[in-house]
Amino acid sequence: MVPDTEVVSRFKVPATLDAIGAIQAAVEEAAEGVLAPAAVFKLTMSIEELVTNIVTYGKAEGTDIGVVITATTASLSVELDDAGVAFDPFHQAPEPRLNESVEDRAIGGLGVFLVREMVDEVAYHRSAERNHIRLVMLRPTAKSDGTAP
Amino acid sequence: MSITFEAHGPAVVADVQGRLDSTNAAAVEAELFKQLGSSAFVLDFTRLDYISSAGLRVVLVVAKRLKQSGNKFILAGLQPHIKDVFEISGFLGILDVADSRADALTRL
Repeated sequence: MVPDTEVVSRFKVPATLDAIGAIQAAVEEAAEGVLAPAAVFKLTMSIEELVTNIVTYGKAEGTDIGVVITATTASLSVELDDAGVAFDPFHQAPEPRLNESVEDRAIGGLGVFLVREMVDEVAYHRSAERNHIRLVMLRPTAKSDGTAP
Repeated sequence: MSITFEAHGPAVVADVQGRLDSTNAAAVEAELFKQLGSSAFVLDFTRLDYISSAGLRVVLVVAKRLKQSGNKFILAGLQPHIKDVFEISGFLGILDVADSRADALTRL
């Protein structure tokens, strides 16, 4: 059975670092009473990581990031689409080396890794010259097989 | 976001409150580095509610600097959701972590 999907919020923001706070605020509002605070943190942190990458590396200046937040009885989802260079963060970002000492540990490179680890389901596709990223957090009673539909 | 510094005997304790993210990471790093000298350093995250990879980066560069100068560095009071981030990043295994500021101070 496919749960009914309700679009909670749909908007566009200019592709700048200011988009992070705007999208996080919308996600926090949509997640109020839907997700546990720890899950809201994981989702908003993931927004920061992904939007930072889009703005910093995507060459998306002067374009908009599209945001769609949807809810079902089972989950809350955030979809981001951007006009930056084609990049699948979940398959093309290098893996961080986690087992090195303080002296040897590389600075940076953790953002996308954290997103993959903290968000219940992630997906990427490229269509109409835009990157589409989907983040799904399951509501407390739902279960996951780890892949987005 | 605010940081308060306190001297505790031979150690400096930095009480970091609020959010440590890409908007303030560079400023926080500069603020912390001003206090890194020849003493032990405790980063008290009891009142830190949010961190991202930009914040983890700050913690790592502080840890590297203190390692280099041979001073003790303890990370104290991580809330559970913040501790998760450090765990996933592999930082819990390489940093000295205390449950609370009081616990950290007994270890200096």
